Amino acid sequence: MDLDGVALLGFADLTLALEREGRLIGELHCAILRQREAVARGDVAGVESSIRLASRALLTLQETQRHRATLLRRLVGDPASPLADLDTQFDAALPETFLAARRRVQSSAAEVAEEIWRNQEVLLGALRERDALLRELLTGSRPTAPADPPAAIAEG
Amino acid sequence: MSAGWPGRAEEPMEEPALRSRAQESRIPLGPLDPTIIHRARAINADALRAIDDLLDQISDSGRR
Repeated sequence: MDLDGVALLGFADLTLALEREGRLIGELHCAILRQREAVARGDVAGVESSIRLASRALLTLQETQRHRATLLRRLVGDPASPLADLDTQFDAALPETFLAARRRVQSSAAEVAEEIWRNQEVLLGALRERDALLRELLTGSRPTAPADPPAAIAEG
Repeated sequence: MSAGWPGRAEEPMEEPALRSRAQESRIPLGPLDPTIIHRARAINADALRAIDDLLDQISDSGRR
């Protein structure tokens, strides 16, 4: 495909869409970090607020992705075309601004995914901690985590 | 006419004040309610799906 004026305009729009996605991923990142801090403090209002922030960022991100799909359909005819494949569809090097925006979104998306995984673990830990506390209140003893067998038994 | 004994309406009674948000935030909350934890986990799961989709769309078709 020719990287003509129309295609260059398409890439400019796509770059703007990617930059917007990058900002929204940043907002999601902030919400996820706030959520972790609020869970650590046992701050209900803080967790609620982080859920609202994350939901809003997520909704807008999905909207932006739909917009990107429209731009892709206009540019290459396929709204689901992977952005990395665009390099092979044009006979000239793609605009550097687009390549940079694509790299940034990819790296910030990978980073936020890791942070979300961490939060899922932290939240699971908070649930377990609560269960343990309730059990302690009801039975008077804190359940012990499965531990290694005592040395004597292990050896014998 | 108020309920109770005559003159009850005239007795000075202090209205219990509602707690402000600032006061509420100072109350020790203890462990978080499981409902809010599940809500947070649900929104995080949605976010993970959205980010995974995004990474799929960005990466080349060979990686999908």
